[in-house]
This record gives sequence, C-alpha cells and structure tokens, in this order.
Amino acid sequence: LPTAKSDINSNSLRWRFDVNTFRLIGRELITDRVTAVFELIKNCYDANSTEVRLNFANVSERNQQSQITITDNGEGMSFADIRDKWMVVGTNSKRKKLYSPKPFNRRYVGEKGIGRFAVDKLGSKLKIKTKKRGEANWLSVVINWDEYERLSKAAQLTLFTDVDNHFSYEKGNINEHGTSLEITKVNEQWSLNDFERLEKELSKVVSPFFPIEPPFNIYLSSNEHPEQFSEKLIKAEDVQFASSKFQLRYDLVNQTQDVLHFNEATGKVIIKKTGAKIFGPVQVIFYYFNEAAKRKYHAAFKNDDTRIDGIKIYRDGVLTTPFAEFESHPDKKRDILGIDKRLWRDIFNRVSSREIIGIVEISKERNPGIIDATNRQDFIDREEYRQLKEFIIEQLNVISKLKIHERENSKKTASDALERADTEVKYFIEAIQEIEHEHPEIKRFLKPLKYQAKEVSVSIKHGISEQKKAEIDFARKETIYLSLMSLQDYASKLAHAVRTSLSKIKDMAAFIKNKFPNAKHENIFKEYAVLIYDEMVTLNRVVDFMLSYAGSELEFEDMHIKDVILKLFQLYTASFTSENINLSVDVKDDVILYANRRLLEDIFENLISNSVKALRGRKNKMIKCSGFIEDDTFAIIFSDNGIGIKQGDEEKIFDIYYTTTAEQGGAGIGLFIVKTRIEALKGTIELQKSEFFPDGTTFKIVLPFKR
Amino acid sequence: MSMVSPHIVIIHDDWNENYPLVLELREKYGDDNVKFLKHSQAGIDYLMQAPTQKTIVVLDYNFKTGEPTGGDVFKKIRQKSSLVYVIIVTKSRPKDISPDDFIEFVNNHALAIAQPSGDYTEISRLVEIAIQQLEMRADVILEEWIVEKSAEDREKPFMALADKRIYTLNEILENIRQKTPLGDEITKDILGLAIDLVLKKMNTGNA
Repeated sequence: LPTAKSDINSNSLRWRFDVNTFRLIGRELITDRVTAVFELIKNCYDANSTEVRLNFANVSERNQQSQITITDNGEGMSFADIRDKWMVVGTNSKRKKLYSPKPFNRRYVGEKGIGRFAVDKLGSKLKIKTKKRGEANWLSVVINWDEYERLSKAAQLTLFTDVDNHFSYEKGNINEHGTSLEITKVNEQWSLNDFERLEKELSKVVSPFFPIEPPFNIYLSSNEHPEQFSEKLIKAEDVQFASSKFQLRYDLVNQTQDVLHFNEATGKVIIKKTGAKIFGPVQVIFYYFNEAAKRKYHAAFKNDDTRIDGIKIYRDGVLTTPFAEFESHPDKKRDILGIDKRLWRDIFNRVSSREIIGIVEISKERNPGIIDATNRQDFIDREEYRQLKEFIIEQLNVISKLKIHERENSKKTASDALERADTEVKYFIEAIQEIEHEHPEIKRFLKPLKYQAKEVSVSIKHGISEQKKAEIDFARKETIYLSLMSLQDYASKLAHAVRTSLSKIKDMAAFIKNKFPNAKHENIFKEYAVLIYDEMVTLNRVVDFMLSYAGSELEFEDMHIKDVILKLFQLYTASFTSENINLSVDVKDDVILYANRRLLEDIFENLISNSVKALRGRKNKMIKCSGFIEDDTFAIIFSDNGIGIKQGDEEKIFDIYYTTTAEQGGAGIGLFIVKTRIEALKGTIELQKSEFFPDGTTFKIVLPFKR
Repeated sequence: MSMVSPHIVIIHDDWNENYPLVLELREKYGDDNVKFLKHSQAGIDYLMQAPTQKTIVVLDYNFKTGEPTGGDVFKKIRQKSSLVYVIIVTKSRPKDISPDDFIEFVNNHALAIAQPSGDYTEISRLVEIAIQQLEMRADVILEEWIVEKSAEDREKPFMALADKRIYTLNEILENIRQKTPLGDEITKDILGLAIDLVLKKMNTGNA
C-alpha cells in the first residue's frame, strides 16, 4: 500500500478481514434502517462533530438517483485511519482512549466498529469523503457492496480481502474537516412515515434533560418532503400530559441515592434516600401516565402507541439502550430491562413500558460497571447491571402501587356511589310512603313518582350485580391470558426440537438420495430408515402437543390423574436422555380429577423445565415424581437433586419474575404459572424439605378430587 | 515434497459415527483421516494432543449447557495454531450466535459458518474448499515441510532473520502457527523466493 500522500492520486484499498461473513452478521445485528442511521450518527458524535446533516434524495422509490448523505463537521479521517481502522473489524482504537479530544471530552459511544456495516443496510454503494483539518486534500474511497455480492455467488471461493476498493484525492481548503458518507443505490424506500419515525428516534439520541456541551445537532432534510424536512433541527419533544413525574438524584458527598417509596397512608409516592448502589449513582426521571393521562396523550398524538415507550438509558447524555430499534408493534419490542416480562402476574396491576417514559442517566466515569454488550442492544450481564435493572424495576413497582391505589380508589368511589344511590333511593321511597300515609289524598300524584323510584332502585341493584359479575369475568380473562403467555415459553423450545429433528431427517434423506442403491451402504440405509421414522414420531408428538393448545378451551373435565401424569412425562423422555437425567415416576393410586388438561400440562411442563435448569452442570441428575391419595386429596411430590433454593428465598420463588436459573434462561415465570394453575384447580403447592437434602428441591402439590 | 493427507475432526453432539457427513467424509478421505467426537471437551482434549498440520475441524456451535461451547473450542484451537481450518455448524440463526463469538470467528478466520438450511453435502463441499486452500497456502506448506524434518534437525539453528537472531526450525514453526509478524514475514519471504526461483526456471527453460 502507498504510504506517502504525495505519491498517490488514485489507488485501491483492501479490507483486512473477510468482509462477506461479517456482512451476514452485520445484517443480523443491524436489522432496521433507523438503527443503521443511528449507528452512523454515533460515529459522527465520536468524531467530535457539532453538526450532522442527514440528506435524503429521491428515496421514495428505489431508483438509480436515490441517495442518502450523512455529513458531519467532525475530525475526519486520515488515509491511515481508513486503512488501519475503517477497513478492520473489531478495531478497539476507540476503547484505548475513553475521551475524545478537548474541548469536547466526549465519552466514545461507538465501541466495536460495527457502525460501518450499517451503511450496507442502507444502500449498496458508498463513497466516503473525509478530511482532517490541516490536510490539503479530501480523501474519497468508494466501496461497492454489490461487487461482494457478485463474488459471493461465484462458484470459486474468493477472499474479500483480495477485492480492491478504489480511492482518490480531491483538492480542498486547509481548514476544512469532517466526513461525509454518500450512500447510493438505496436498498429500501423511505416514506414520509419513515422520516417521521426517524425523526422521533433521532430525537432520543441526546438526553432531553441533561444536554451535552459542546452541542450535537442533527439536521434532517428530504427533497421529497421539503415542507416537513428542510434542514430540520431534531429536538426532543417535551413530555406532556403525564399524570405524575418523579425525579431521582444522587449525592456524591453523602453517598446517597434517591429511591421511590409508596406511602400507604397518604396514597402518594415520595422520594427517600438510600445508600450508594453497587452500579454507581444514577439520575432518573419517570413520567407515569395513568388511564386518563394516556387518553389525553393518545388524543393529542393520534393514538401513536410508540410515543410512551418505556425506559431509556443515557450515558453521558447520549442514548445507549434500548438501542434505537424501531418496532411498530409494541409487543415485539425488545424488553431489555425486563420491564414487561414481570407483567405476567398482574398484567392489570403492574406498570408496563407503555405507561412510562423514563430517562436513566449514567456515566462511564461514575458507572464503570455498566458496559455495552457487543450486540449494541444491551449491557454485559454483570452484577452491576443486574442490580441496576432490579433498581429500575423496584422503582416501577412503587409506581405500580400508586396505580393500584388510584384504581382501587376509583373503583371504590364508583361502587360506593352505587351503594349510596341504592340507599338514598330506599330513603326516598320510604319518605314517599310516609307522605302517602300522612296525606292519603295525594297518593295518586305520588304513585308515578314511587313507581319511578322503584324502577331506579331495580336498575341500581342490577348495576351493582353487573359490576360484581364484571369483576369475576375479569379474573377469568386474566387466567386465560396467563395461560396463553406460557405458550410463548414453549414456542422456542418446540421450534428448536423441530429444527433439530428436521435437519437430521434432511441429512439422512439426502444421503439416501445421493447414494442409493449401493450395496456397501445397505445397512446404513436401513438404519437411516428407522431413524427417520423415529424422528418423525418425535415430530408428530411435538405437533400434537402444540395442537392441544390450539384446540383446547379452558373447560374442565373428568380425567384419570395417573394416566395424565404418565403421558406428560413421556413427552420429556427424549430431553431427559439428552440431558442425562434419571427419571423416576411412581403414581401409586389413581383417582378421577375434575380438572383442565392444559392446566395440568402447564404445571408439569414448568416444574420439569425448572428442574432441568436447576440440574444443569450437576452430577447424577435425578427427577422424581410420586403420587398418592391423602385423605380427600391427591398429593404429588415432585423433586430434583439440582442446585436447590437458597435459604430465605422460599417465599419469593412463586413470584413472577423471581428466578434462580437466569443463566439457564429462566425468566422466573415457571413457578408462578405452576402456582396459579394449581390455584385454578383449587389446590395448593408448597416447598418441602428436599428429598435429596442437602441438595435439590421438593414440592408438594395437593389437589382436591371427587370420589 | 510428499503430500500429507488432510485430517478432518468432526465435533457434534447431535451426530454419531454413522451420521451422513461422517460417512461421506470417510468415503472421500479415508477412515483413518476422519475423527468423530461427540463431546466438545473430548474434542478439545483430542485437538490439543494431535498434530495440527493440515487439519480441518467441523465444529458444532450449539453444545448442551455445561459443556464448552463451540466458541470455547474455537478459541482453544486458535491458541494452538491458526493454520487449522474450522467450519462452524449451527442450528441457530446468525443472530443467535453470540456476537463476541462471531467476531472471534471472523477475526480468526473460521472458514465458514454452515447454516441449517443446507444438508450435509454443503458441509462436505466446504471441507473440500478448505483442503484446496490448505494445499495452496504457503504457511501450511512450510509447516508441512518443517514437521517432516527430524526432531533433532528442527532444534538446530536454521536461519538468521531480519532481527539478526538465529532461529531454529521449531521456533520458525511456532511463529508461523501463531501468525506473528515474524511468522508472516518468513512466509512472505519464502513465497517471494519461491516465485523468483520458479520464474527463473521458466526463463531458463524458455531460453
């Protein structure tokens, strides 16, 4: 490669790694156009820009003239920067230094250099034009992703490190500096709606409450929507209509951190001080929207459900996570902080990310334990981050108490009013009767009045009973909802099982297709035929299991408990074998239970999956289940010799988001579902001293039956 | 120079000795040249003691919890030598591969990541490409040439390099395997020399 600028006007540069493979992952990491733009904007920030201009030209449909240009007034890159950093993956040049040069002193936000692949998401041709202050020329490098595409499809394997990327120099003013990315052959169309979305997402880049200095301004232009987007400065909008706002601060001198606290007596949320937290001091602002506030907000913003969008974490004034990821459907949003997964218990009581706008401010300096994960979508799972998540959830739980209080209050007000009205009507009728008694001559005038009052009384009574029915109905719906939620949990497991089976079948079938007939492989063909058949049987079972969900209602029926338990365990034989788990099932008695099959399946599925997680990495793995009649009930003892439950946690284990198996993928809903299901069957579950003490866990489940 | 047969190691816990890919590769490259291992730890143990020249590893990414992951095995292999070709086999979608592992694969030249969409013939084809590349790589040929020397010869001072130090063949081998700047330099120099010699030969031949 040329080393001195003087001897080059035009030449080529090569990637320092096999870019094709990396592109694949780049595409998976950067799944969305807005995320892609956001990544590039972060690079501008790191380069000490104070202004970034985003220009979209002719992108409403795909055509040769379409172009996205991102221009910043940052430091720019030298030839060596491009060669040694831009063309290398996973470069850690940014991490060696924490700050950008004065007067900016910005903490770098883009750490892994994935940003450049964001360009690939946006369009297939890129021209980088860049210049550092003091250099005479602008450097241009042209990267044509299409060329890689073409090569990757060629029969011969070509290493992309061998592909030339053209570069050249253009004369410039010595004081100019910055970088511009010209992306042409834009991959996707951008509609007005997309621009609005982009604007909304970009408005979150910089914290609205703790603005950065020197500033970082983004201007958005589209030649197709000049009225809305012509050098439009992107600014965070003020949060309006919230029903409550809470601000938490910290005190470095006294080492205290503000936390929220719900005062039961007054029904109000107050702020208290606690000691310093392991994750370091944080500043937080929460806006809570109760039902009325949400209605107002939605009326003002035309039901745009993405605006009240949960908690965001800013580091040193710049958004870190959730990472500018757009998902139009709120349920599909990534739940990094685990805010919505805790909803499953009390979907109607807990505060969800759709009722909260929260800004959590951290800094690299004061919160060094909170470190970005490489996928840019989360932080690395460490004790500090776990505690920070817990801290945020605890604050939300306090707000949940406020929510419950407000709702109970309004429910009580409504039902009190009904009761009062009922009593008042009664008094009214009594008063009329008294008047009738005293003045029988006006009885005929009072008659319609009395009739009306009685009608009203009937209506009110009807209202009261309807209200009670509605409450019962509500509880029933809650049960159905929870049952559906547990399905989500099976889905990925089932999909994985199906995929494993299918890929084995495919390989064996391909072998037979390619080699048959061949006397040498005769035995193999036979073996494969049997194995393919077996895999099919497994697949069939999995599908049956899924179908049982599609068809079944929440109806109760009589069933033989022994039969149900044995069949359920059969489903897991394969996975027990692969996990090396010894199973012992001993159901002595059989009774007819009036129950719902799905509820029972849920109970065992969750107990088993919990045990499997608790047994990971243990020796002589055992799961044991026995069943017997005990008085008027059927008792089930379910045990494993896994890691067991920590002392002091016995009460918490049935809580919805409590888990001791987070590393193994435990979301902390299993035992909650178990408990709610058992309660739906009017039974009980309790933790007993482990059969495998000092290891393991034993549950006793008691279900009533009719003789 | 005699050609060493490629050595293929398959580590996959959903497969067995009779799995289509194992049979296919044994048919193509000989029973002795294809080793199948079901557990990732066994794979690491095997690779750590086996000679690494001209080795291709077909490696599962999704091992059961508790066992070393595909990423762990890969790192171990790379600690020993960067001349081994590794083909990663995964049931996961790319985004389910841990990005740290992915960057590790890319920066340390995993040859390919085989997706579940294809069948065993696709992996077989990748093995073929790996073998072709191994046979053409100057560093691999150098390794093969050095390994063939006797242990005694390998310990003798062999050549002085740019830093004026005299290196034994074993030291040179180590540098080539670890892909140190020195190792790369030697490879390049020898390749340059070889091209020179070939060209001279051609010129003389033409004359």
